[in-house]
Amino acid sequence: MGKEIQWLSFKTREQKQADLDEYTRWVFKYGQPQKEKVEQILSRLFPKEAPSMAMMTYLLGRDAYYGRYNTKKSSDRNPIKDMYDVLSKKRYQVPKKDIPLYMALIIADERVSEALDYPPDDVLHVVAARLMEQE
Amino acid sequence: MAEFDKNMDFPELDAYFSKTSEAADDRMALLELLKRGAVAYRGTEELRKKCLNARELLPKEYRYLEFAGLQKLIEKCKIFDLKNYSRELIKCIIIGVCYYTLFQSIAASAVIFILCLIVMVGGGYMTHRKNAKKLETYYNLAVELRGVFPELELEEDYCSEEKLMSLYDIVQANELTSLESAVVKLKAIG
Repeated sequence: MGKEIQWLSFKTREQKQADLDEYTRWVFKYGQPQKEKVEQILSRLFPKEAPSMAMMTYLLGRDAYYGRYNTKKSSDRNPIKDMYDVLSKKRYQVPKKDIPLYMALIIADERVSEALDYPPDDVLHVVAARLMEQE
Repeated sequence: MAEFDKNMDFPELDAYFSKTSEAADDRMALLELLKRGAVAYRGTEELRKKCLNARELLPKEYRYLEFAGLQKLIEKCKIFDLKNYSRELIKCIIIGVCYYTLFQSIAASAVIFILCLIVMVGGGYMTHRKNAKKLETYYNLAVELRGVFPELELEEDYCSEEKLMSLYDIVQANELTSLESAVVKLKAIG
């Protein structure tokens, strides 16, 4: 998805919509309630950030974490590093102090169940601090 | 260049998710139990009404006793034990003594004492026997009602499809894991 050259694409509007739907289903496997929950958490964690920007950064990090931008073999990958590398690219202008928090949310999201039991913000901050130590 | 360990551990997340997964498992088990209970209690409303009526007929002091202690109480009420009537016995003795002090007649005082004994102790015993019968009726109905779905061990008030579905909704809406807290919440809602 990330490597696709949009203006050379010959997809119809329906195909594009289907792709977007598929991607949305992949990101929010528990549907709209999960999307709303993530939006709530992002607005709490990054109150100064525009909601759409925060969501975009989250999706960017998430795509990197699951190897959507990677050409390496899955066994050679380090998902946390991949995520950090993408989020810390200058062109995305993600504040350096926010990166570990986005990463913590993405790592936590991997373990969330149908009950949408996202960890409270303080747990995410602790995980982010742990990630910062490694940075 | 940032270096991240490929197999980095997050004990805080592990601790949080192990706790929530346990709670979620408990909640799912409780919801399942309530659902099965509601199905089991479908069509037993008549029995519940009978049981609640039987409970209403009991004297107030027996009405809200623990179910587990009922059988023991029934046995206690059935058996004549003079120890249970010591207060009545003392009253009879006082009346007898007073009668003797007033009329100086041992025979008449003895007769009065015996009469009082028959009325007070006998009356008390008869009342206990009557209560034992009422308790037994209520107990049998309660056993039958609880026996419809014994896994829940619920008070008779909640042994109905409607109440169990209300408890189900409460458990789901408030993410509860124990039946007791759901019952407390339902009582609070009224």
